[in-house]
Amino acid sequence: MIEDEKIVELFFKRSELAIRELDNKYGKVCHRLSYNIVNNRQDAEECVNDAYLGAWNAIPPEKPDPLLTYLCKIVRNISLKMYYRKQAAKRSSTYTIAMEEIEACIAAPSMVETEFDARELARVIESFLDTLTAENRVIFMRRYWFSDSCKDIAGLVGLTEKNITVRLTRIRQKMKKYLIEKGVFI
Amino acid sequence: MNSKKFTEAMSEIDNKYVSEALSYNRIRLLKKSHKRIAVLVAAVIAVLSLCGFTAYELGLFDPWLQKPSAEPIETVRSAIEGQADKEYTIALRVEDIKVDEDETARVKAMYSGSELAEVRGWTDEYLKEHFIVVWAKYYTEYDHTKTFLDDGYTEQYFYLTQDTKSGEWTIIDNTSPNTSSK
Repeated sequence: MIEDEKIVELFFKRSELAIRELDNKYGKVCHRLSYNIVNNRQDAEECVNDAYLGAWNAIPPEKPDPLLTYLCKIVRNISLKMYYRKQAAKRSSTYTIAMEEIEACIAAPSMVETEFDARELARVIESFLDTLTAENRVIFMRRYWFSDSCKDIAGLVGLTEKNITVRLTRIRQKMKKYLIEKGVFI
Repeated sequence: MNSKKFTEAMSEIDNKYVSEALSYNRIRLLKKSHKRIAVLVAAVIAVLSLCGFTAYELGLFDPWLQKPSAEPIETVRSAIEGQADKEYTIALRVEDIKVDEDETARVKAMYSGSELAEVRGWTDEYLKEHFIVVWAKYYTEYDHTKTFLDDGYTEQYFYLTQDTKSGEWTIIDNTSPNTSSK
């Protein structure tokens, strides 16, 4: 498999091979991530293609490292936009289920004391993530960033699906406590 | 909040958390963990080996090659002279050797009724008759390519107990060698 640096070089040379190599190497990961959110093969395909186009437009001048993280962020953002646009369709994606879990552990809107913007909130979540073990951090990120199913996460970390469900419940409880301590009622 | 705000915040999460989740490989981590444990075990073994080697070189593991005798002084003499057989000893001679009454009384009093005496089965009656301390001063020269020990005079106390049946005295303990004497 071609190295990331070579793919980025192809982008810089404006070679269309860059997209083909990107898709060969990371297409599967991107499609799964997008599908987890939009819950529709066709929409996921569209999101991933849009992400490739986004990468094509951004590189250069950008020189992403690591490339996959960068690409996943684009795929996720585009897929979320698609999700909200088509929310009326009420598709039951793993993203929807993951967000229902999160909503159940956070305070009601009437309890909002401090209005945190997304970036501030991200810093608080990061500091919470730093309190977790690497394994629990990965489980959390795979669930609430990648919207992976508990079954897929179980396969990734070598635990049972039940274990993952229990771990996630505990992590959410911890996060709720942490956010309250930090004065964040989201 | 609503989940949308949470999602927005997650979108702002530092790349390192995303990269960590992308590159997570349980088997690799287990191997890494096993490797760390192996390195730790190897380090502990190395340190213990070094300590053992040092102790050996300092003679801390050397058992006294004693010949129990009905005379405590002779038992100690045989033990000291037995050191001459060690490969790193060039010369050895006993300068002075005697039963130290004061030290005997002091150590007897110390052991009397103690936990150590109980563990070793020494009653006060046994200590009174069958325990003695011998002091010795001896001179040694060593092969310094084989040992760290210094040449010169050494003073040392030897603690002996007597077998009630055979009447022979055996060294059961000794103080650290005092090499500061001339």
